[in-house]
Amino acid sequence: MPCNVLLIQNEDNSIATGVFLNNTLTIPHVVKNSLDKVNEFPSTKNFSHLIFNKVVDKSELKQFVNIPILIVAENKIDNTEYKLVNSPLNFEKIFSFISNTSNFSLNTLKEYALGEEEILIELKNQILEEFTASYNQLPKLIDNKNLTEIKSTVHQISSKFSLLEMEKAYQLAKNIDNNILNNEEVELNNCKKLVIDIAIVLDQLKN
Amino acid sequence: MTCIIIDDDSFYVEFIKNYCNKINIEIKGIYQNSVIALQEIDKLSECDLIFLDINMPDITGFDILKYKPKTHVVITSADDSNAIEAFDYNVVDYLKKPFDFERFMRAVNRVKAKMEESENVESHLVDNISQSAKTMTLNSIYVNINKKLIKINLEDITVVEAKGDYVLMKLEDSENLIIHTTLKKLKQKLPAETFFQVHRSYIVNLKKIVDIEESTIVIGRDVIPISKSKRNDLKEKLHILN
Repeated sequence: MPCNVLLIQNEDNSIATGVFLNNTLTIPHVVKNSLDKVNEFPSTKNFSHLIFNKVVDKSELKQFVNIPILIVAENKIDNTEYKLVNSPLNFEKIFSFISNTSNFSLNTLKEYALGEEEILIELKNQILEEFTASYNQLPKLIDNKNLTEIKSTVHQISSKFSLLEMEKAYQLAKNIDNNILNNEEVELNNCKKLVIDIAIVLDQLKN
Repeated sequence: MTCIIIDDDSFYVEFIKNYCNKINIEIKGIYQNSVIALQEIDKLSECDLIFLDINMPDITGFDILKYKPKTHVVITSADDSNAIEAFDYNVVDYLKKPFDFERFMRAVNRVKAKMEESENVESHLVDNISQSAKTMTLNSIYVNINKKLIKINLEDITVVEAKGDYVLMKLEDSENLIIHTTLKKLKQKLPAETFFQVHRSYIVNLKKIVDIEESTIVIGRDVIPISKSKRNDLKEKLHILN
């Protein structure tokens, strides 16, 4: 599933949704002020990440066992299986949480480089160069609805997601490549989500 | 084994190069621009194997396949939906990107098997041709006269006489021919069961002999000398009892 964050917070401790934006990216998200309200939604399964900006009881987390959870550090919670950050929550912290909990892995690439460090570095550099270009170009292409160029750009990077073990991003890219000329609105929206996956690749490769 | 890589994606060029280097496949060329690859289509056939991407701007892999490069082609594509169409062009294998070394090796081995198969067929053909040549009875030869190849029926030749750098070929019911060659070379072209060199300057058609004397033979109106050394051989050829 493409990135879609559920943020749960107390009404008296609400944060500006601006924390989900930077110059290029908008992280898809839903903000709820009460977990009870969340339970009213059958769509809780549709979130990729969960952030608690409130005091949280472990029992509240049961229904979210399969997705990464970030808890703002003021909460006293004695459990290392969740990511913890200090407040205030900001874009960098949210993005870092998303990036570090992605499936990104260099294992397949290492295997394909046949254990040769030089080759691995060369292949990583090629991906870095190509993804940087795509990261810079795609938002403009999306704004201009330049579907042919989007298709070509996405096609070129799609298989690299698979190499980096980001299977969901690979499927998203393939869908865009196959459908964008016929289903413009849906796929343009998916392209915005794919830009987040591209940003994750860049973040991981640079670290 | 030699190969050419056609792919607009630098990443996969590096990727394939690395695999080729591992197993000593010599890379004879890399085309990241498919338009140039198509312009140099004849060069593409000078290698044993082409790794060909399908989705490229302007000229696709299919456009290149339509020009039928005369070598083995392995498709490398991120999209497997083109596989059926690709196999219509007799490609040897279809590698879906990304592919691991083991899968790459399977494709290379398939090409090697194809190469061995065609070498066997070629050698079988050569054997057959040479066998046919041995058993085939020629009934004509071509001679070069004034830069024209002229067909001569062997049964029309009566006598061939050496004339310096030329030979005079006498034909039954036709004008004689002067040919720029040697008697030795011509003798190699003529079937030994029918033609016999009776003298250092004469080859005769045994079927045309009408009379034999001690030291001469008569063919038509021509009297041809027989060398002493050739007399017994001639008698054997003609099954003459002493």
